Amino acid sequence: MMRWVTLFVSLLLTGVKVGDKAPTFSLKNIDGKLVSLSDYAKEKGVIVIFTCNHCPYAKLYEDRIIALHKEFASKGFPVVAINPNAPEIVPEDSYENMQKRAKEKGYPFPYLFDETQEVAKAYGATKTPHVFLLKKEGDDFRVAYIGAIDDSPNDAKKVQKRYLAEAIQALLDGKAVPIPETKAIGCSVKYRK
Amino acid sequence: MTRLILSVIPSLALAQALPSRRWTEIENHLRHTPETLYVLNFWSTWCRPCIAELPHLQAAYHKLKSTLPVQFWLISLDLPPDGAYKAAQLLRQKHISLPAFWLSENDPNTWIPRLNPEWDGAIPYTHLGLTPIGHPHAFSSPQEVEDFVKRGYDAMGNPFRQPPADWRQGGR
Repeated sequence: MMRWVTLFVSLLLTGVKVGDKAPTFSLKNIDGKLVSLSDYAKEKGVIVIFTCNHCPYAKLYEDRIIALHKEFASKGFPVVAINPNAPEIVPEDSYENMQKRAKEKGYPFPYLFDETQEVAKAYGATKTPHVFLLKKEGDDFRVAYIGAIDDSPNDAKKVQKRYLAEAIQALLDGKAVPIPETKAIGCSVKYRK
Repeated sequence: MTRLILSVIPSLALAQALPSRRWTEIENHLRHTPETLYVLNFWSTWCRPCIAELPHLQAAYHKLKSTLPVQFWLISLDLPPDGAYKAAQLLRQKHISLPAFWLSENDPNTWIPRLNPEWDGAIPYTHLGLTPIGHPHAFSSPQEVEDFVKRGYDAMGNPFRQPPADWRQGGR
C-alpha cells in the first residue's frame, strides 16, 4: 500500500515546491523576442501562468489574467504567460495561433512558447491554467504560491476567494502567504511522449 | 443570454442530461457501499485524452465485473450551464454505457483534498473509491485499466475493505 502512495507522490512531485528556487527560463515571445526570468530582476515578483489557447478552462480565465496583470504589474508583480503544449498534439496551441489569440485579446503581458517543454517540466506544470507565483529574494526568485487563480473557474462573477490575488497581497504586505497551494481543474499539459 | 439558450437547446433535444451529484453525495454513497470497489474516472468532453480512454474503461469493466465486485463511475467535470447535457450526448455517441454523473461543484478545493490531497486537479484522473490509490494519467489500453484496478484491489485486501477511517492522517 505504501508503495502505491509513494509511486503516486513521485509522479506528481517532479517540479518545484513552494519555497524552492524558481527555474530560470528564456523563451520566445509572440513578438519573436526572447523573454527571460532575469529580465524581471527589478520586480518584486512574477506571476508565471502556464496557459494555452484551446483549453476551455484557460479561455474562462483569459480576461481574469488580463485583469490580474493590470492590477498587480504596477505593484511589482507582472504576469508572464507560457504555453507549454505541443502543437502537433493540439494544433490550436501553435505559435501562430498564440500570436493570433494574444492579438485578439490584447494581452498586455508576454505570451511565451515553451517549444521544448523544458520549462513546464522544470516547474512541474500539469495543466492549463496552472499558476506559479514567484517572489524576488536577493538575487533569486522563489516559488511562493502554486495552484489556482480563484475558487470559481466556471463563473467570474461568483468568485469568493481570490487565491492568487490574496497570495500576492500577502507578499506585498510582507506577510506569509495564507494558502500557499490550491487545487485547480484544468486541461492536462500536452507533453510529447 | 439568447446565445446561452440557443447553445443549450440543441443539446437538450439530442440527449438527456447526466444526473447531477454533489461531492458529498458521492462520498456518502461510497462510504455506505464498502463491499464494492468503485473506480471513479474524472473526465470532461473538452479533455481529449479523457475521451480517448473511455472505451478502455468500458472494456476493462466488462472483463473485470465477473471476477471482482467492481463498479465504474464516470464523473464529468464539464462546465455549466450545459455540461451535463454535452457529457451525456458524447457518451451516447461513443456508445459508453458506464454509469455517469455530472459533478455539481465549483471550487475544486472543497472536494479534491477530501478524495486525494496529492491530486492537483489535472484530468484524466482515475481513483479507487475511498482508498488512497489514484492514477494521474490517461490509460492507453483496457489491459492497463485492468492492471490498475487489480493491483489496487489486491493492495486494499480481498475481499475489498474500506481503509481505516484515519488513513489520511500521518502525512499521506
